Amino acid sequence: MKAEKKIFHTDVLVVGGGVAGCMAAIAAHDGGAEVLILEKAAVVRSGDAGAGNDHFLANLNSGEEWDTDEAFARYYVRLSQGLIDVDIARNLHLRRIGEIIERLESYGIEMRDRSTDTFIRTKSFGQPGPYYINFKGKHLKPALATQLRKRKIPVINRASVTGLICDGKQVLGAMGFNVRTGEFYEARAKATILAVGDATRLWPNPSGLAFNTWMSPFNNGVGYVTAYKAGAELANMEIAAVTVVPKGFSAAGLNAFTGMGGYLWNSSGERYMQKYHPMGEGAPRNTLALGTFREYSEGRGPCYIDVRHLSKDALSHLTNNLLPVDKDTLVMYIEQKGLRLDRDLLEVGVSEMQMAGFTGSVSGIVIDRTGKSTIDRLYAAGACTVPSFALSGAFATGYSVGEETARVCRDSSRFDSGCEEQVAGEMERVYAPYNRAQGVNYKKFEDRLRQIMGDYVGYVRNERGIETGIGKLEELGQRVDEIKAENLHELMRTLEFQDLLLVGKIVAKSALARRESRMGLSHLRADYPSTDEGSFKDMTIVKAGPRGIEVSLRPTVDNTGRI
Amino acid sequence: MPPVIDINKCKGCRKCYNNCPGDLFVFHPRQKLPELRYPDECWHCGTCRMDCPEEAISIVFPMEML
Ligand SMILES: Cc1cc2nc3c(=O)[nH]c(=O)nc-3n(C[C@H](O)[C@H](O)[C@H](O)COP(=O)(O)OP(=O)(O)OC[C@H]3O[C@@H](n4cnc5c(N)ncnc54)[C@H](O)[C@@H]3O)c2cc1C
Ligand code: SF4
Ligand code: SF4
Repeated sequence: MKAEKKIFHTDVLVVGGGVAGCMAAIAAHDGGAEVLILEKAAVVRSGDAGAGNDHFLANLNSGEEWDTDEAFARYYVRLSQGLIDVDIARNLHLRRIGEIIERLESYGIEMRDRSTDTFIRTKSFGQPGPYYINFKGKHLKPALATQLRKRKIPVINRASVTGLICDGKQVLGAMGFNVRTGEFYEARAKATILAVGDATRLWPNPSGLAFNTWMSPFNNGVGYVTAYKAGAELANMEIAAVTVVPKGFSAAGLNAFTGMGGYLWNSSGERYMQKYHPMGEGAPRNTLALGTFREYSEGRGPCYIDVRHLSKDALSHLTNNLLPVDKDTLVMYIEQKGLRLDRDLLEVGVSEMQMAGFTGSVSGIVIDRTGKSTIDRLYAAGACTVPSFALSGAFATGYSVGEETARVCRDSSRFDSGCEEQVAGEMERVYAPYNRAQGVNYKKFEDRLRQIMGDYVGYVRNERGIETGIGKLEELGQRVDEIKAENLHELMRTLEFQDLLLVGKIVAKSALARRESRMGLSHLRADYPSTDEGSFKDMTIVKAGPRGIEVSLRPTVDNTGRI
Repeated sequence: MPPVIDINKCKGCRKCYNNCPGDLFVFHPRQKLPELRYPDECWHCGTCRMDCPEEAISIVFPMEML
């Protein structure tokens, strides 16, 4: 295939039109910048929040002690165990929550209960008070897409970004291809924002179905990979995300069940979470996952979630306003299982592992108080950064970083040419699997990648195992030129696999460096089973060096004293 | 076979093809019909079901998930 190339110049290039990307584009545009969004799917329904989200994490300064900015910041730090710089969170996220809620209401997203005109708030995951606003977020992405259209912000849907244009010191834009037409894109910008979300499909899925993931299976770590290749730093990449999901369906919704007061039972009829945390089912997510994992591995499974004791109104709120909003198909799933939540228990299990920018996540691209990465002219927002704080974090950091890039662009007239060879090389690399005469389908390779990650860098890790895994990942890497893509869709998946392979290696190398266990199954080292606050209250930092992936430890900045 | 399309209801508006986050549909212009080409890659997100103006799509979970 001989691809056509299209070249774009813009002030702010937004890579990924999920929640953070749309908000960044809106803010950059409103700040006077010319903006372009390159989105792999279609902004109207793309990303983790594409089909709806129902909980918006917020403090509202209502006068309660737990509802202040300071109390919320303390919760943020506690959940992330101090592995983030809360000052960055404060600047990009916390101080803006109230304003973001007003903005969403002005976009037509219903944040309040219509009949009472107040916020419905529930509490889960170790919160000191009810921080989760239950809102009508089923169509939040269409609402954001409308805002983009109103502003005539150019969006190229089905544009999968594969690399950044980087002269070694600064980022000059990004490259990618259209998964429907095959066109190649070279987009040059004064500032580039990565807002491409998390990385899934890297570990085996308990259902055996690779795309049955908790977070979107169509986010594949391109942000980590492109930032890393450009020389930027990543942090805490060994700390994966694991949750509790309905057995068989890796669906979001746990916060709705536990927030409404659901119980978790083991097969002996014991509410097992009380053994693991004083808050029982209200414990942080990683404790819920670890507790459930222990119950199963020690022979007390199957485990179940039980909401039969809820009042009629509470059950109706759960099944009408929460579950079908957060995961459109979950209620249908429960029905197809032949269950009724007012009558039956719902079996649950531990989810697959993933790199997810969920509440309390500590892994991703390192950014500063302005959202800038450690490379000039490269910014990042949302689930691919550290810190990131799920939906409200994606809304707020996206908006803050968009504003910042517009400000930076006002003072800069630079559209650099250069790096032409790099662009030509990327074009060659991108189409190679398609142009190859014959080869193997990407799926075989991706299955092998998951097998290695599960066997050696999975729920329970040790040094010998991780080292073995790294060796096997290297071997797999030497064979990637055997993959043949028959069409553009397969080409997209093949390139996703290549990114996932590099993320896998980064995770493994970081996991070797963190010689302690932390955050439940997020990083459980059988050879170092305790949490070591003395030596490891540090971030692991990954950077590309002359010898490949280099990992170092960096003490976290303790800003809690300032809270 | 996660989303099942009722071709008697489908009016060929392409919404499912345009909005699926996984690029899982192809569209046959002559017959004016979508086809779910990659069922194994479905996230069961429900976008195609929700956005279909004709209510022509229902989600049927595969037996491995039930
Ligand atoms: C079902 C579900 C329910 C959830 N419910 C809640 C909730 O109630 N409350 C809460 O706080 N959090 C919730 N979350 C988490 C929350 O949705 C995410 O943290 C948030 O949406 C992340 O926003 P983001 O913009 O960083 O990433 P995303 O919204 O995922 O956006 C990433 C975008 O990048 C695009 N992209 C990926 N790769 C490329 C590429 N190569 N080139 C171009 N574009 C690319 C993707 O298509 C996508 O549009 C939920 C998540 C899921 C999956
Ligand atoms: S349920 Fe979602 S992922 Fe599956 S085909 Fe429909 S839109 Fe695509
Ligand atoms: S959205 Fe519905 S009506 Fe439109 S093409 Fe798809 S199945 Fe047919």
